[in-house]
Amino acid sequence: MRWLARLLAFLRQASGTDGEREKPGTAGVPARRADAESLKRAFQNIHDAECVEIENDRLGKATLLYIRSLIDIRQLQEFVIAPLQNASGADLRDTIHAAHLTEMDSPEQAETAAFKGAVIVLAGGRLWSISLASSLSRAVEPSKQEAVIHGPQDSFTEQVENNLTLIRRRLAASSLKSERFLVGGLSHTTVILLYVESLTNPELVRIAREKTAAVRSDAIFDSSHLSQFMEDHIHSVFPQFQQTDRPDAAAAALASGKVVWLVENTPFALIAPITFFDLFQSPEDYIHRWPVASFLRGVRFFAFLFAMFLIPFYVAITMHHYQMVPLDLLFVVLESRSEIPFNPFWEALFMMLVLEILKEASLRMPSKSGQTLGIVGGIVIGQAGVEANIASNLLIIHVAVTAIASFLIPNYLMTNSSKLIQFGLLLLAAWLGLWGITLGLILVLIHLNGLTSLKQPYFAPLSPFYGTDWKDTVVRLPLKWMSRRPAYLMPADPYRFKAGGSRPERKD
Amino acid sequence: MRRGMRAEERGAAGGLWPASLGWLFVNRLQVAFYILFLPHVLLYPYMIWAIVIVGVLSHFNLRLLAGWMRTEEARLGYEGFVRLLGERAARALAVPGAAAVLLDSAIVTLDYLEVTHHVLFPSAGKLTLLPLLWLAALYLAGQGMLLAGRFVVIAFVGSVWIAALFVQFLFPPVAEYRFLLPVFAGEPRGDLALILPTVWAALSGPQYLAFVARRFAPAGGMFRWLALGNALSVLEYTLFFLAVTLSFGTEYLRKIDYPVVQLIRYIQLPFFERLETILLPAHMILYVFLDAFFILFLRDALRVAAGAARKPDRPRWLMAAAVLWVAFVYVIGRFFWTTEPQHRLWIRVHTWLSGTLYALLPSFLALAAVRRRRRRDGP
Repeated sequence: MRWLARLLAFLRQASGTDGEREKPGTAGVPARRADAESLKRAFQNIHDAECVEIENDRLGKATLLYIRSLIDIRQLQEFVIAPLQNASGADLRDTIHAAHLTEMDSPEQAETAAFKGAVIVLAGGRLWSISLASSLSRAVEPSKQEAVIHGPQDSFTEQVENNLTLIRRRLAASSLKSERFLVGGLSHTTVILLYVESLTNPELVRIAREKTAAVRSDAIFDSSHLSQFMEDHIHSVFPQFQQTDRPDAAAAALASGKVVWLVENTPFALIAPITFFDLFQSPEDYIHRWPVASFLRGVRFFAFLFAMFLIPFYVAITMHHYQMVPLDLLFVVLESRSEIPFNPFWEALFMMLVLEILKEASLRMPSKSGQTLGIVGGIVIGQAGVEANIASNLLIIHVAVTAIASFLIPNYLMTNSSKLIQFGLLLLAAWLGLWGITLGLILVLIHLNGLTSLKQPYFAPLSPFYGTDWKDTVVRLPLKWMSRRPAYLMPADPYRFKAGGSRPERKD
Repeated sequence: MRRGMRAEERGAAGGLWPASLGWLFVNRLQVAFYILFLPHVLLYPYMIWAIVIVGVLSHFNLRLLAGWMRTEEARLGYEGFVRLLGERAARALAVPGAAAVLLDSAIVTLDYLEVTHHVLFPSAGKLTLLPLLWLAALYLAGQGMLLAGRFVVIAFVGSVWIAALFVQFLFPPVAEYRFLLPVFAGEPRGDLALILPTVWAALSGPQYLAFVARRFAPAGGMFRWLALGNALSVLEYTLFFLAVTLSFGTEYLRKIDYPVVQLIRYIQLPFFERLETILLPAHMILYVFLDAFFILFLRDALRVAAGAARKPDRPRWLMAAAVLWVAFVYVIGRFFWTTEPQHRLWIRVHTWLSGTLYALLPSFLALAAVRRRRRRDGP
């Protein structure tokens, strides 16, 4: 940064002495003069930084500054160096016809541009940037996080512009607005805020804009980093932004009146505001027939409750409420537990920790070792644990069912949140039985009642209650019946469509 | 406000409770306390008419309450009461108001703790669970009146399903329809001077809405919602009373405490029985809601009494109210609720206190508002 500041200071001193004309329409921007020596000093200790000087009779001396590893060398030669060598006019804009030729207003801006793949041109006492970033993009692939059998198979990549293209292809409307922010003092990450102007609540857009602009961090490498700086409740275990790598999900969120962020170098878009119930929805819900989709959604909610409560319930029953178990079943429970030296709490805690260790290990270890992990986890720990009387058969079944049930929750962040709640409930179950579990549940509900996402109620449409939004919450009713956008979003245009359907396309 | 938005949505958008929330408030405030033991007081089958008749009276009382809630004074909150009664009187009345709230909530809470102790944790102290209940209520109260009020939806959903468990007791083979006879009494037995006020007290609770009228979105039809809540409460009381009467009969009913809790023990599922172990904890959600609501009322009453109602609210008022509340409940429970006669005395105190407040408060406020309007408009 210092090199550019020095350079600009020099240019300011030199301005007016060479008799160059003021650029029209840029009053207030001081004229600058390039200094080859200070330019070279600025790039010291950056091995792939290059400085090229080109002399031309008409244009004078032009100095190019760029980072070789970040730019497309072929384009540099073709669109910048060759035109400069053969320039016939005195104005750079007449010489270089690059789409991204921009005059820089400040050294900070020029520095950022250089490190984002632009060539800085110092010519005629002015600073210019030409975006020639080399393309380092992987292909658009099917989503790995939210895979569907039917429906669109494309997903976001790390290239923010490509991601924007994927959304614009779905929402080809001028009302889809995009605002660009640079976030992170060191990373200068590009963040694009998207919303549909004609239908999104302006208050939501204002809050989103303010929150994005207020992010103070040296580096943002992932959309989840960004979301943590924008959350309303930083201590909550519940995710307040939905992350998706599916363009159709992001486009659907925009069309319903939500706000979407695309973050550079992240294949996950952020969606807000969201509700607790949104985290149980899958893009496939809108592809299935509505009774099937509703059933599957119900199964997901049931699985979430199962994953949270099954083991704490087992502990509460076996430690405090044996009287609740019918006699035949009680014999099974007693027989299963008869040789276990620990009380159910320690038994369950141990097995739950083992399960979490296995899950973490399966995420971190190379995929080829996955089979080994399956054998070690499933057979060795499970079977040996029972034979060594560390855990009962019954608990192993509970743990297995809990593990499978937790995978039904479509949102990965929510799956992890439920684990933490499960451990809390386990403690309360061991201490106070079912009363303790209920207390824990009530505390979670109170927490959800007060939670907000982008200042909108997180537990809507239950609290506050919005009757019309229940068409797409626990069940998914026919799309034809969902003429209204979610009411909790207070959209500027509450209706998705009016009765009568869409207009036929004009053929003239 | 944007086009296409419904009144309820506009209310929620403006940080208010929609009028439609009124029925949930009325219903949960009415049934929270008495649902567990009212059938034990009624005993005789023809007392079902007491529920219906008192329900009708309550309906008219709610009309007065809805009338008050519509007035300009009610919508102004504290300033409305000052306009109605004068500042000195408003502040002076806040003291007995706070005492009434304390007493009401303490008895309700202690009775729940008593049942829980009796059924779930007989070896633990009765007040063992009080700190946990208090913390949960404080957590909810800490979210403020708006969010605590919204919690009524969750409290409703979390507790209304209990009623569904009792429907099976209305049908044979459990139900003995002869227990319902005589459904009309030639000569009423039982202490009517106790029974009728108890049924009236069982339908009390909505009187507290008189102080939070400004929290509701100004939509018409408030009475309709309040009446719906009242009708649902009458239906629930009738269902519970019929279920225990048809199952136990009058003779056995007079011998048992908490017949509702006793009855649920007869439900057997393939995996579980003794469902009172689930019912009582589930019922706690109502008490957390009620206690949070009462703590917030107490906070407001303390602020009014201390002359700080017009100053910005501070967390210390809530903490003061919460500490006062838990200390009061503890002292009553520890020293004045140790024997069965004391228990019965407190229940009777609650019956008269809550019943009297419900009978007088809406009519007093509605009349005061009418008088003021007449005075203002002149002859």
